[in-house]
Amino acid sequence: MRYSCSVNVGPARFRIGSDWRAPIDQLNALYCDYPQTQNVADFTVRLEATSFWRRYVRPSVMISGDFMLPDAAPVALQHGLLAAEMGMNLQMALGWRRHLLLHASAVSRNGKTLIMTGHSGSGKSTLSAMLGERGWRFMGDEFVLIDPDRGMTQPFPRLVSLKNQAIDAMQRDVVDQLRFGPLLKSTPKGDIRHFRPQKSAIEQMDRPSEPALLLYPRFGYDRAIRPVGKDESFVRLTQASTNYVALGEKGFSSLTRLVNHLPTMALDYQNGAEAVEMVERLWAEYVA
Amino acid sequence: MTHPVFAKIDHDALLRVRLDSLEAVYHRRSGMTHLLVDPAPALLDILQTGDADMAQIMTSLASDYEMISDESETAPDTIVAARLAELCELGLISRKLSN
Repeated sequence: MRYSCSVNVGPARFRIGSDWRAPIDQLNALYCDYPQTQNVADFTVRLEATSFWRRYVRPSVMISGDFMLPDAAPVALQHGLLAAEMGMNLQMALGWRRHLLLHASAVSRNGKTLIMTGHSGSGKSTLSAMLGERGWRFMGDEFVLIDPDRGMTQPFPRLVSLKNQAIDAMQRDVVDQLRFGPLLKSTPKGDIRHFRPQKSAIEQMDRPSEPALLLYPRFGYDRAIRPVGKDESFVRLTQASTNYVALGEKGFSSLTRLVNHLPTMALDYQNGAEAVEMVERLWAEYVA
Repeated sequence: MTHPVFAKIDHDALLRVRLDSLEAVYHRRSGMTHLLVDPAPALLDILQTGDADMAQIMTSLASDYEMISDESETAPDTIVAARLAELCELGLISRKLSN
C-alpha cells in the first residue's frame, strides 16, 4: 500500500493502507487523540483501487483486509473515510474473538455501563454521542465488547458515525468543529459525518466498566417505556451479536449472565432531548 | 414386547438457563443453543432423576401440571410424545428400547 496509518481503538490495533493519500490524511486528523499501534496490528484494512486505472479515473475504493466480503460494492473515493471505517468494523465483526461483540452503543458513569441496542435508525449511536457530551463517558457507538470471563464492558470508542438529521443535532451541541470529519453526502447510508469522541473518553479507553442497564431505544415514536423480558432480550441480543456462535459456550454464558442481571427497558422517543431526559430518569431509578 | 424408555444424555452435556418464558439450552457437543418452552424443560427435569417411559413421565408431569385428557390432537400425552420426539431429534435426550 502506498499510504498507511495505524491506530488503536480500545483493545484492537488496526493498520490501514490505501492507494490514495486523502483517506489516510483524514484518518490521521480524526484519530489524532488515539494512540498509534506500536506492535503488530490485530487487523489490516486495505483501501484499494478496483483496477490500476481506477486509481486515477473516477477512482473507486474496494474495501479489503484480513476479513472481507467478496461481493461488497466499491465506494467513491470521496467516501474513502467511510470505507476505512466500514473496513475496521468489518474486521471486528468477523474477526474479533476476545470479547462477546454486540452491535450496540454504550456510555458509562461512575464505573457503570449503559448499553443501548436496536435496529439501524433507532438512534442508539446519536444518543450515545449526545450523552458523551453531557457528562457520561462515551464507550462506543458501534460495538459493545463484553469480557466473557468477568462480564465487564470494554470500551471501543471509535469515531461516531453521525447520519442525516443527527449531523445537525450534534453540530449544534459541539463547539469544537475540529472534532468533525468531512461531510460525506449521498453515501449508500445517506449523509454521514464522523465525529471524534471527547479526549477523556479516548484516554480512558482501556478502563472497563460494569454493565448496569440495557435499553432498546426507538426513535420517531411517541414517548413510552416498557420493561423487556429476559426471553425477548436474549433473542434480540443473539441477533445483535456478530460472534455469539463463534464464541460457543463462552458466548452463551456471557449473554445469559448479561440478560439475567441487567434491568432492561424499551424506550420510544421523538427527539434527542426527550431521550436524554428519559435515560437520566431510568438511570436514577435503576442504577444510581 | 419392547417399549421406548427416555434418558438424559451425558452428564454436563447441557447448560440450561431459565429466561422468563423460555429456557435457553446450550448443547456442548454441537455448540448449538436451543430455546425451549414448556413442557420441554419439565421433561428434561424429569429425566435428570432417572430413565423413564411415557407412562412414568406422564405420572410425574401430572404432579406439577393440571392434565386435561381428551382424544384430540391436543391431548396431553400426544403433546408430550411430540416434544419427546423433538428432544430426541435435537440430541437433548436419548431413547432406548426396553422389555
